[in-house]
Order: sequence, then structure tokens, then C-alpha cells
Amino acid sequence: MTIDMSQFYQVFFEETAEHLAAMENLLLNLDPESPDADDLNAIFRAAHSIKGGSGTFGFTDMTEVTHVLETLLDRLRKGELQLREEMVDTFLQAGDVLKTQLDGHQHGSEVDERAVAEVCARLKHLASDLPGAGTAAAPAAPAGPRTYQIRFRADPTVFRDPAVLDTLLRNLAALGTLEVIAGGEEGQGVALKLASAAEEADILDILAFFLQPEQIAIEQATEAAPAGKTEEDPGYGLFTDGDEPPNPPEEDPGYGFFTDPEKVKAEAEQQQGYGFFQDVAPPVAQGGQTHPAAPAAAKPGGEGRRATDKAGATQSDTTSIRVSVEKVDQLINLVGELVITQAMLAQTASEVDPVIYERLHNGMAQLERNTRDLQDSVMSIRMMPISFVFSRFPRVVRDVAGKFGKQVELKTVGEGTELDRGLIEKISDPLTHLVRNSLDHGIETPEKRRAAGKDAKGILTLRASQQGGNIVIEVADDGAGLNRARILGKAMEKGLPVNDGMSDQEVWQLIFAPGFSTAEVVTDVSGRGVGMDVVKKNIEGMGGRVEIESEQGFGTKITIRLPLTLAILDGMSVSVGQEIFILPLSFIVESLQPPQEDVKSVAGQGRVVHVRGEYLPLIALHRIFNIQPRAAEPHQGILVIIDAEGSKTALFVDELVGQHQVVIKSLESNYRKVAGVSGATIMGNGKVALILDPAALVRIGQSRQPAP
Amino acid sequence: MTQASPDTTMNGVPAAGNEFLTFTLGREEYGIDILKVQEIRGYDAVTGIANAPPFIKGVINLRGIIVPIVDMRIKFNLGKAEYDPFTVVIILNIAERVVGMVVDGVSDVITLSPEQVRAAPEFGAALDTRYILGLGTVDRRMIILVDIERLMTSRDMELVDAGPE
Repeated sequence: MTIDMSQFYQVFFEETAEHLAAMENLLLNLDPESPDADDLNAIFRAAHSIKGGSGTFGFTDMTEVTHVLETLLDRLRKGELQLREEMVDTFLQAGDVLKTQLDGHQHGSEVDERAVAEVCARLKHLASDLPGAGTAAAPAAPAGPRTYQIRFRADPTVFRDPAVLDTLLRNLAALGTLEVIAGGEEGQGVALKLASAAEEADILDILAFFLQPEQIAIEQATEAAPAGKTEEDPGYGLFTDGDEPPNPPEEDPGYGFFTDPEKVKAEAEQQQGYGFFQDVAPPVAQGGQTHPAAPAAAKPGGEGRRATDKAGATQSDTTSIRVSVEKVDQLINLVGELVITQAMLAQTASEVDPVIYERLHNGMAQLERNTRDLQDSVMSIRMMPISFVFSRFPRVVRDVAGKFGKQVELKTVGEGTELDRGLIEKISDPLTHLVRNSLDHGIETPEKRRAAGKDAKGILTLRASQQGGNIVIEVADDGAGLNRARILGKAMEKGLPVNDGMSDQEVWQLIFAPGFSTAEVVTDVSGRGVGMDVVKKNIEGMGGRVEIESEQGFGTKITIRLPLTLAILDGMSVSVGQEIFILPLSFIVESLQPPQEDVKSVAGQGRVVHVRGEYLPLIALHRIFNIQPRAAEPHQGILVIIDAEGSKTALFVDELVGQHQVVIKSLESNYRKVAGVSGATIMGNGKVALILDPAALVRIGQSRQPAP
Repeated sequence: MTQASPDTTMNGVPAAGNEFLTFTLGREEYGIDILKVQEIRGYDAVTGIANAPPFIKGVINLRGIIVPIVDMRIKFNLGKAEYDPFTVVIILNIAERVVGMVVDGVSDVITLSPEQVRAAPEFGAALDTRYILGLGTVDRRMIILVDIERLMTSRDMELVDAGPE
């Protein structure tokens, strides 16, 4: 299956930028003395989401950074480590690095690989909990200028081209004042004297770029550098950017490659030469060398390069705008009101004489058309097929399954199910977690599967459908299923209130507890126990529910039910007694008025209707809702055949009123869930009508059948 | 809700300066925190809800939102539950929900000082004393001050889901 992942890149970029901004915000507000556990969790989740997303899209460089970031954060939030100020700094730096990486993917701007590597190293140091490790790795504040004696042998293989040595010298000169004591000739030893505020490690960094550590000898002379030389430090400061870790030496090697060899001598001796150098035209051509990290459009100096980065970051996409979901909601509500008002006006207008008020009627007709169009347009802002989310997963499944040496086949069903754009955006993270969890914990390795008598290839099914007022998304695998004993054991270990008498459903719900994970190994994919509680939180945030069905040895099915809060519904209005109900059109197969003899009773109570050779169970809506009907017998009213819960059922109502497009309003926001009803809507006359949930009606009907 | 709490004294009796909307149910007079009241309107176009308790009359469309209507007269078995153009519905805004409450009549808005409020004794009222903040006295009238938020979100009223199914 080939899917153009690039269509989702934009979503990932936007999401990640949001996560990064949120992370930075939280970090900035974090008090290192007494960090708020929720904040730490939130930061962790942001990092985790970025990791998940970048993993999905194959931006492995970002996954790597977030993984180490996450490891440290995880230890912090578990209280294994005490938060220190320097950690916050490092986190912020990591955030910056991620931003440049993101920019790199988004705008093709250059990424400073060395900064990336360094931040990773620092994070690893911090996470390893070596006292003072962080301090050592962190750049020390520049101490007073020191004098170093540097000696190395100019390896002919490396220094075949004099430009290389020149570059090296230039880089060292950037640290302070360099004096060449001896050497520089081919194959000979080089002795240098450097007066600089830099650490020995910084010098080694530069040299290590060309030389093996054992070839270098550095001695620190104790005498203070001449006062005059320190004044030249500002020139050095020119290349540091307050926003970034003060590690200019890291960047300088790349920079140095663009040196014009002719100028080296002068520059090596004079700090001012640096400033001069910036005015030189792009020296790529002159340098005659290429560096792997060199950008195609190199700028002469570090300053120039940063300016490009900034330009890239602020570059805005004008083809789409990001609007908050609330604004769209408001728009939809207003349009809904407009439709209702229009319907009311139309009703009033229909009462006047069309001959005299012809223009009014024409106007009304036009208003109706315009309102419908407007409603359609506004609605279409939000509705998207779920394939937008599903089509991310073949890649995830392939990568993750490959990583674990598992064979997995992904099946997707119902990709055309439309749901709200807001929901699409929010559901992708939880779904990714669930899919990854299924791959990691659910589906077993081919060997285990064969041993259990199953096909070596596991099947992961993603299914979406609309059931009544809900969008139902299932993530099902045919893996090992949940292990009841292990979950209970882990819950006890965690001190959760559990006992052996709990029902399976209750036990399964335990996996949604924060920090709960039964995985023995924390992997890049799952096992940190972050997924499930976030999944639940996110889904509940959308007003949905998560249900788990699991059978050990046979697999796990996780069902997400999302309310259709904003979706518009094509419905048939039916009346029973004085009440009007809306029946979703998608469930209706046909409507008919049966002859009296086609309605039969079974065992004196349950009734069936004979429709073209089929016997369908008959449910009287007035019985379920305890309403006094106008039509007491099916042959006096209408039977609406609905297809729900996998079978056809005849729903007995008084009459059909008409077909409408209705805006679904939640009953639960101010009231509670009502059995058999998925929501409510407002009719043209301003009255509330309840929207029926056919699937629930069928279930109620089945359970009530024996009762009178 | 939150606006009122800082003014509430230790024993839950509202402090001075609290304003109450008073309404009647049968021959009893009740008072609720005015800040919980969104508006007062007539009773019309209620859509019944199947299998709901009798005191839940149904839902109405209040400018685009679906609002449940509770008839307090039926709930507490006070007064006659008749619906005519003079039937009054108090729309409450409690616990981030909007709920309508049918009462016999709305009297006025009064301000009670702490001296005018007595703790409610244990007595066999239609209303559980848990939901009574105190008894207010104005002239010769006794006003039962109700913690309407607590009452409406209680399980007794069946307005909120008891919990996950």
C-alpha cells in the first residue's frame, strides 16, 4: 500500500510546534525547588507525543532526542531524580534543538548536528544520575583567560592540504589569541600557544575534529594572559547567540571551512580578522572543499546562518489558517440557530397569500437555499473521513512490527466514516498509542503464535463506524490478550485499591491508571505506562468512552466511542402520540404499513412482522417510551425497518413526519444519558426533538420482549 | 458557586449581604442564592423524556441549548402541579449546567444578614436537611434557604449521571 505521508506532515509539524511551545511554557513556569507533578507529567506527555509523531513519520533524529529527553523526564516524574535548574536549562535546549530539527524537516533549513549530539549527551548524563555529571557536561562559565601549550604532529594524511591546518588554526584562533610557535610544515610537529578563556575540552573538541586524541598534547600554563588579549573576547562573543547554548566552538569547524585560505594568516593572529571575514563573499568556491554538514546556500558567517533559521521559523503558511475548534463550534451553532430561525420564518411566511406576497415568498426561497449552502459549507469545515488518521498506521505497523520481529497485517474497515475535524486531530494521538500498544504487548512473536496454534502473522484491525449518535473506533488484535493476574499483581504493587473479586471489566480499566504498565522492558514504543492514561484522558476529554474486551490467548479489542456532538444528521422525523422523534436516516432500510395478518406474535408476547419472506422482530416505540400512541396496532401505524446491531428490526411508530437535516445537540451537557436516545435537536418550531439511537432501541427491545 | 463561597461562614450559613431569590412551593417559602439564577421564564414547549421520573418534565430549547426542566412541586409534593401561562420556571446555572425548575411562584429578592439566619433543626421536611443552609426570617416570614447546587446535583434529583455505566 502506498500512501503519500506528506499530506500529514503539515499536521505533524503543527502539532509538534504546539507540543514544543507547550513544553517550553511549562518548563519556564516550573519551579525547580518544588516542581508540580502535573506539570512534569504534562511535559513528559508533550515529549512523548513528539516522539510518537516523529516515529510515525520516520523523523528518527527527533525520535532520538525525545527518547533521551523522555528517559530523564520519566525518572524525574517518578521522583527518582531531583529536578535541578540545569536540567530545566538542558530541557529548554533540547526543545530548541527539536525546533531546529522540526524546521529542518519543514523548511529544509540546516540542522546543527553537533548541538543535537551534545544535548543528547547532556541529557543522558543527567539521566544517569552521576553527581555533578550535568555540571561537567554543561558549559562552564568562561573563567579568566588561560594560556595553553598545544602540540601535535601534523599527520600527513590529514594535513595533505594546507587549508586543513589553516582551518584548524583559525578555529583555535576563534577561542582566543593564537601564537604559532613551530611547525605548520608538512609532516612536522606543530606547537601552538593559545591564550583563551575556553576550557581545555573545547580545544580538544576542535582538534579532535582532525586528530586522534593520543596525538595531541595540551598543557595549561598557569600564568595569566596578558590583559590586552582579553579585550578581544567580545569578538568571540559575536558568534554566540543568547538563545542558544553558548557553544560556539561546536559550530566553528563548519564555519571555518569557508575560510579563504589567503586570509588565514592574518586572521590567526588578529581577532579583528574575524569581523573582516564576515564581509567576504561566500567563500565556498574559494575553499574548494565540501563539508558534509555544509548547507547548499551557505552564508558567510554564523550570524548570517542564524538569520536564515529565524526567517525559516517565522515563515508562515498562507494556504491554510489554523482556527480554534471553539470558533468553528460557535460558527456551527450560530448557523444552526440561523437554520431554525429560517424555518420559523418560512412557516410564518407560508401562511400569507402567495399571490400578494410573491416577493416575500421568493425571498424566503432564496434565504432557504442560502442558509442550506452556508450550513453545508460550515459543516464541511469540520468533517473529514477517518482515513486521514487510519492511513498513518500502515507505516507505524510496519516499522514497529519490524522492530519487534513480529509479523502483523493491518486491516482497516470503514475509512470513509466521517467525523469532526476536531475529533480527527484529537483521536490520532490516542489511536497511535493504542496501535503501538497492541503491536508491542498484544501481538506475540511469530514463534509464540505458532506455539499457541495461531497463524504466525498477527492481525490488527482498525474499524470505524457510526453507531447511532456515536462514532465507534475499534483497535482489535488477535494477540495474547490481557493478563488478569499480572494486571492485578501490578495494581497491588502500585497500591491501587483492588481485590481478586473484581470483574474483568474493572480489571481492564486498571490499565488506564496513570503510570500503569505491566511491560517488563521500557522500550522506545511503550511500557512507560504513559500511553493508556493519556488515551483515556484524551478520549474522555472529547466526551467519549473507552471500553476493553479481552480474552487471554485470543486478543484484545479496545473500543472508543465518541459522541457526535457536532455532526449534522440526516434524519427521518417520526411521531408517536404527541411526540416527535428523529430516526437517523442511515439506519432506515424501508418503511411500510403491514397488513394486519402479517404481524404475528411469538409465545403470546413477542411480535414479529413478516416482510417478504423474513420475520423481523417488532418493537413498538410507544412501549419503550411509555407514550400513549395514536395507532394502537401496527397496521394502523407505520413500521420503519431499521438495520442496527447487525440485524433488521421493525420499529412501530404512529406516522412518518418528514425528512430533516438536524444539528445534534447533546442531552448530556445539562441532563444525563437517556436510554434509547443519542441526543436531541431543535425543530423548526423551536421545540426539542429527541434523536433515537436505533442500536440501543434494539437492545432495549430485545431485553423487554418478554415483558408486557 | 465560587463567587458565593468566600462569603460563606464556617457553618455554611451565608454571610451578610447575600441576596436570595425567594419562591413559593405550596405554602412554603424558599430562598436560593441569586447568583445561581440565570433567568426566570414561563413554562412552554417541553419535550417529554421517556422513562424519566415524573418530576422531570422534559427538556426545552433555551436559545439553542437543551435544558432539562424539573418540577419541584412534584418532586416535593407541594402545591398543585398545574401548567398555565403563569407557571414560572427558574433557570439555574449550577455546576456548569443549566437546569430549569418549575415553582409555584417567584416572590422577590431579599438580603439576609447573619442574624436573620438560623441553623435548620432536624425536622421532617419534604427537603432533606442536608440541602438546607438555614432558615431565614424576614418580618414574620420564614424562608427556607436551599443549597440549590447541592440539591440539583444530588442523586435524588436524577439530573446527572450517577457514574460510568
